[in-house]
Amino acid sequence: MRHCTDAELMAILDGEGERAHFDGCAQCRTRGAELAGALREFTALHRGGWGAGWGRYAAAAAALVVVGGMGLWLLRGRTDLPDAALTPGATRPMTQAEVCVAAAQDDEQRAPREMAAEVFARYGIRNPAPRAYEVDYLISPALGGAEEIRNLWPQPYGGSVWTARVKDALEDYLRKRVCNGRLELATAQEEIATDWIGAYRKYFQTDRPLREHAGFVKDRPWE
Amino acid sequence: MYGQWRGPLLRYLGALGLPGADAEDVAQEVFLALCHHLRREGGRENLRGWVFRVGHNLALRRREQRGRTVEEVEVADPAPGPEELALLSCRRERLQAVVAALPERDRWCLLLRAEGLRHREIAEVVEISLGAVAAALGRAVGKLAAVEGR
Repeated sequence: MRHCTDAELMAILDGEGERAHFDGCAQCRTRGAELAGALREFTALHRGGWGAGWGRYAAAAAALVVVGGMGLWLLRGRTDLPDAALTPGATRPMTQAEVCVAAAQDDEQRAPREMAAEVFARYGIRNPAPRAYEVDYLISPALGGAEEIRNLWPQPYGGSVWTARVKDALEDYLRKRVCNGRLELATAQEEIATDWIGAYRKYFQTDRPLREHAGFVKDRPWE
Repeated sequence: MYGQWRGPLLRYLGALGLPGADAEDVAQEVFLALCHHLRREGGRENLRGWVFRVGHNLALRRREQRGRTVEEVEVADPAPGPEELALLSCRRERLQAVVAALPERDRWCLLLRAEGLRHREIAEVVEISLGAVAAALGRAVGKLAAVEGR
């Protein structure tokens, strides 16, 4: 049996190419998820400027930085997007059909407590206030996101109009589009992982969150 | 269109090796050309691909005129200090090194894909076949995935 080449997998991830073998082959889907993850990570770093300039900021503020890169995210002053280096997103090797069947139960999935604590530590957040954050799956499990540290980040409920509730509304909308066959799963995963606010603006055709999404409740807060 | 595509275009031009002022000039030229194109009632299909194609060609021409190579300016932070070196993750540096070592055409395809262009749009910008785009991205992303730690 011949498996998909990386070139064929890239075509499939772009919504082109023959997917008959891919859909039925766990090995090819795993490789596809690896390539999609690597591309997502590169995209996030590229769009974020590879941290150019960050190093200088960090050096000046070195006394405030606890270990390595953690803390920079807080110093950056924008906490509505994750740190691309810490949270590039990670997916499970699932087909569109599998994601849509599994979505209902995945909606209830919550990051394990130990993993949530590690997320806060990586982001330099000590003693997080209860109900102030959602330990959010950057790519939600309902969209094939994996339960990995690289897919989790502390998303605040306040501090910006781009809150965890607004992202939840986007996730819900994207899953519907994926399951209606109007959006490729890989595209949805990539868009939400690289710039979820940009994706929201694009899909809802607005510069600011819609009023009805400000109170959208899907995931539970960290307590 | 200007607001939506200017940022991604500038980022792409920078990654091709144009210094900031040159990238700004080229972007301005591209959007001026886009105005003329639309006034002449030119095709409105895939305007994003059009913008990147014109920008790509102008950037290569300007780079030739200046006699620079991509390698001279590709790495975003060429001389980080010791504190920065300590803070920048090894993984990030390894990824940068992989990208810098890619054949130029593979790197163009990867950068355009990172700007959200579909394979068909990339094929138009770089003027290669759809299969060649997939092959270039397969090689480039395969190398990124092979970086230790993934």
